[in-house]
This record gives sequence, structure tokens and C-alpha cells, in this order.
Amino acid sequence: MTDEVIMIVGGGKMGLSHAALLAGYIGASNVLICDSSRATRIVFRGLGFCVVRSVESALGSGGVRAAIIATPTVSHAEVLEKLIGAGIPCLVEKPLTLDVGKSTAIDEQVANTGVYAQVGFVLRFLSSFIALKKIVDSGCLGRVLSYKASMRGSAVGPSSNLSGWRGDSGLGGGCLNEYGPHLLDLCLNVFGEVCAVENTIGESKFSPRADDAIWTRLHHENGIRGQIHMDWADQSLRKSVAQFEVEFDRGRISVDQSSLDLVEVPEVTHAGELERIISQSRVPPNVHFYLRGEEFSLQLEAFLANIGYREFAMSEYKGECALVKDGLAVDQLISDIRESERRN
Amino acid sequence: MSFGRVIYGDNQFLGVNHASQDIAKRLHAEYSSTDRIIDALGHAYDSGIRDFMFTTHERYEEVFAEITRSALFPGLGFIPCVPYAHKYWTKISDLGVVGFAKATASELGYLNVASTLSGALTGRAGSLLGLLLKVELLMTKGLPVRGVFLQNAAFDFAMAMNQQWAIRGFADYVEGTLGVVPGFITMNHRRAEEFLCDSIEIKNPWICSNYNPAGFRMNPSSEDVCNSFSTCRSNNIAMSIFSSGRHVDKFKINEIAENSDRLGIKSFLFGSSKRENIEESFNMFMLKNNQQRAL
Repeated sequence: MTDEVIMIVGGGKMGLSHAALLAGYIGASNVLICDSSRATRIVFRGLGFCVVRSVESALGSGGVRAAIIATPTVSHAEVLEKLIGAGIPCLVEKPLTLDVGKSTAIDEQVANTGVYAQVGFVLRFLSSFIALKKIVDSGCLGRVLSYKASMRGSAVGPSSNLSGWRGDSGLGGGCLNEYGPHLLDLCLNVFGEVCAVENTIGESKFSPRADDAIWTRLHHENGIRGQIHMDWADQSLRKSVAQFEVEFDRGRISVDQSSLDLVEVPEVTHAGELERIISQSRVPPNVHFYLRGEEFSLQLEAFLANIGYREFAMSEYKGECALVKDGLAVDQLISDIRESERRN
Repeated sequence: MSFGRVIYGDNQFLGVNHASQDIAKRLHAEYSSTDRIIDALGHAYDSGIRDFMFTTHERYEEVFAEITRSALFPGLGFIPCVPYAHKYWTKISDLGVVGFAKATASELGYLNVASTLSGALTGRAGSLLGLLLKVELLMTKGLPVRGVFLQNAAFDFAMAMNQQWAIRGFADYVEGTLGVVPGFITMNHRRAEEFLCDSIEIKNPWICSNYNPAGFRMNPSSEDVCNSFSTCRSNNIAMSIFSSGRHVDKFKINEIAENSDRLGIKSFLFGSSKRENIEESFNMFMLKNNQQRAL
């Protein structure tokens, strides 16, 4: 182990993904995997990583420069509290926690200590969604009147093993915990704060204790209204797709992970600005190391840049980091959606 | 053994479209039919293409069974790309990293895995990979395979973690045991070239990587990738030449085709579902019909 490492807490699927990508940036010998399972540590040691059993042991031995938290969501709060308490900058996978009270406590701890803490809302780093936010903020198509947002995919199916935490919303499973944070963070980031949630309906297809699909309506404080649909058990799709259809004063646009289309734009008063934003979004930025999509690389580059790796400078066209306060806002919205579902 | 100057790819058959999720969904549904895939392959074959590069997706089992049964497309060479990463990623989601390792060992037979693992520990890394490759390549039985490529998800993963034994084992097994050309798909061309040529010391490896006028997925930069292609230390296949339709500069693409030797490009890989687009692209890459360059 070298003097300063970045620790990945949790050796599951997301831990593996972060570990491989991070190794592409700083080398496997500078990545420390922390997992309580001996079998998992053996697998990662075999892949060339240094391993450790607990956060306490890692902090005790020193040399941890930053941490990426990829444990099951139920343990995020506990791990974050220890790391932030020790002054370690963190990137935590989404959602922040499963409990608004715990998320609020973390937000307060971050505010009091000033430790940098980023949340893994990775879709913020996709060019098309960056362009959507720029179009909304610039007002080049006028005010937003309403929007439809959806995230669908085939993350689970009839043969999926959903007897564990993935099929239990209380443990962080289900489509609202899995797809919800990504989609809802984009809704908040692009259209502003939400003041009311209504008409929520959930449907369970395969998960024993969670919704596999959910429909809801959001009222934003600025008057914008949104219709939301999430479905992580849509077998017609090969992989997940997040889509927005946005109605402006002067036109309608359709946006997904890879494209932005002007559906009806009869009159554009700032055509130059609109064209500039769209042309910048057409080809995603190149990254220092590509593993599974530019958005994952850019998210990591943003984290590295913010903890002092100056070679990974970010620009406004590469994306905007989500912080703990954004994670708290999403957790609050998920809680409000659950409350709305109960009312129905 | 080598590959043709033009290679037909299969993104359209699997519903992969980097520029539009709607097109991706439509293609995914359209090519769930074996006949539709065979029709499109027929268009490519009739145009003159003699190499088909594909991912080992279960969708092809029926397609290849039909091609073998009916002796379709004589002279067409097959280039499987392994593994179909999405399949394994879904398994890891369901089972976790350790559960996935156990389930894979169980599928392959614990005894086989134990003996091949001991082979790996004593320096015969190819034995374990060979076992995995055998399973992945079952669908190509009876087909004339010209090469086997490692998908970028697997190759870039192994490269990030400096798993030289895995890449060396793959290359040795494909070349030594299967007797065909090993190749590597990457989204990080320069690093891949250095890793393969300098660290693992593979001579003139076949590398398939993005190369297009828009710089789409040419990491870390367009200039960097152009430079590493032009060293000619590797045999390069240029893919995503049309940037998934994001930025089709016909003049520049034609210029790349005309200067391919100097730029370090041996072959062009592209996928399309329309007969006219396949013919037009093939003719352009083969430098035919230079008077009619429209795509």
C-alpha cells in the first residue's frame, strides 16, 4: 500500500465498478477495498487491490486520502458519519440514505466540518441532460410549462433473485430507490424545488416488498408541473433509459441519455444560444479513462478534481457535482412520494 | 491470417445506438427475428463484405444454426467478441461479486475450474480463460471463425487493473489453441497500444477503437488517438467512424478512407440495417465510386 490511497467501502457490483475505473486513473495499488466479507476481500486481492476489513482499521492505519462509499444504502449514514468525522472527503453512491432524519444529520455534519462530500447522481454528467438544464436556465425557449419524466429499464425480471435487499424497499430495493434518485435529482436540479407530490400509484410485478413501477405528479415551487413514471421491470428494454419531454412557452423538446431533439420549436428568439447549447451536447467530452460510459468517468474526474487532483479540471460542459444537500433533497422527495402513495 | 478492409458490425441487431434511445428500442424489437438478422447479413454479403464481427449474444444462436444448416454466405468470416458484458453485469447485480464467482464455477463444473485454476497458479493462465472462452464460443460451432476479440468492457477492465496474465492468457489461447487472430476492443487506444505492445509484448496486436472526425469516444483526445493509430505498432480497426450518426462529415470520412494507410487504419468496422447504406459505406471504404460519395 502506498502512502495515500483512495478507499472504496463495499465490494459489491458498484464497488467493483468504482474500483476498476479508479484503478484506470490512479493505479490499482493506490486503491484500497474495504469489505467485511473475507471471500470478497480474497476476490479483490486476487485482482491486485489492497484490502481491509473495516473502516476503523483503514482509518487507524492512516493514509486514506478520500473514500468512495458503495455499501448497501442502509449503511451509508453510519459509514459517512465515521469518514466525515475523520475529515475524509467522500463520494457516496445514491441514494444518500433511506431516512430523511439521517440524511439531515449528515448534511449538518458536512456543514459543520466543511468536509467535501459528493453524491453519485451520475446522470448529471450526461451531455444531453447538461444541455437540458442550460436550455431551461437560459430561457431561450421561454418558461417551462410542464414536463414528463420517465426512467425505464429491465434491471429486474421474472428470473431475478429479489428475495434479498433488492426486492425490499425498506432495505434500499425497488424502483423508487434504484431509479428514483437519478430521475428525481434531475427533476430537482433542472426544474427547481418541489412543493407538493400527488396522485402516486405503485405496482409490484416481481419484488415481494417493493414497487417495480411507480407513477406520480410533482408540483414545483415555481409553478412547473411534472408527471413522473419509473419502471425497472420493463422487459422491452435492453438497458435503462431516462427520458424527459419538456413543454416551454415557445416549443417542446425531448431528451434522453444520448440525444436532445427539438420536437416543436416554431419561434425561437435566441436561436444562436439554443444552437450553441445543442451543438455542444452532440458529442460527449472525452475522458482520461473510459470504462463504462463518459458519465462515470466525468463523475470520478469531478471528485478527483475537488479533492486536489488538479490534472482533472472540470468545466461547465462536463457536468455539475451533486452534494450532500442535493442527496438530502432527493431523500425528502422519495419520502414525500411514499407518503403520497400511502394517501392514495 | 488477417481481416478484410471492411467488417460488418452488429450494434443494430442488439439495439445498441449511441445517438438515440428510441432508435435503439426499435432496433432491439425489430431484430428479435432471426430472419431479419439473416436478411441484413445478406445485404452486407451481397455488397461484398466478407467479415462479420458480433457479440456472443444469445440472439445469434438461432441465426448461426440456420446459417450452418442452410450453408448460407460461403466465404464469410466470423469474428466473435467476448464476453457479452451485459449478461455478466446482470448476474453480478443479482448475485453479488462472490455469488457470481460461485455461480460461474458451478456452471463450468467445480472440478474443471479447480484444475484450470491450479493451471493458472502455475503460470498456465490460458487454461482458465480457455474454459470460459469455450463456453462463450459454443454458438460459433461449425462456423469459419477468423478471430476472437475481447470486448472493451473486459479489456479496459483488465487493463485498468494491470491484469497482464489475463490478456496474455486470452491471446495465447485464441492464437495457440483456436488458431485464429486475437483482438482487443478499447475506448482508450493509446493506453491499449502501450499496454499490449510494451507491457505484454504482443507484436502488432489487432486493436479495434473509435476513430471519427467528431472525436467521439476518442479518449483521452482525438489528437492522442490519431497519433497512436499512426505509429502503426498495432493493426488498427477503426469503428464508430460515423459517430453513431451524431456528426457525419462525408468529406472528412472519405478523406480518412483515402488516407487509411498513412493514418494507421487496416480495417473499417461499421453496422447498418439498410441495404443502400451498407452498399454506400462499403464502396466508400473500398474507395469505389469516388464520384458518388453521398452517404
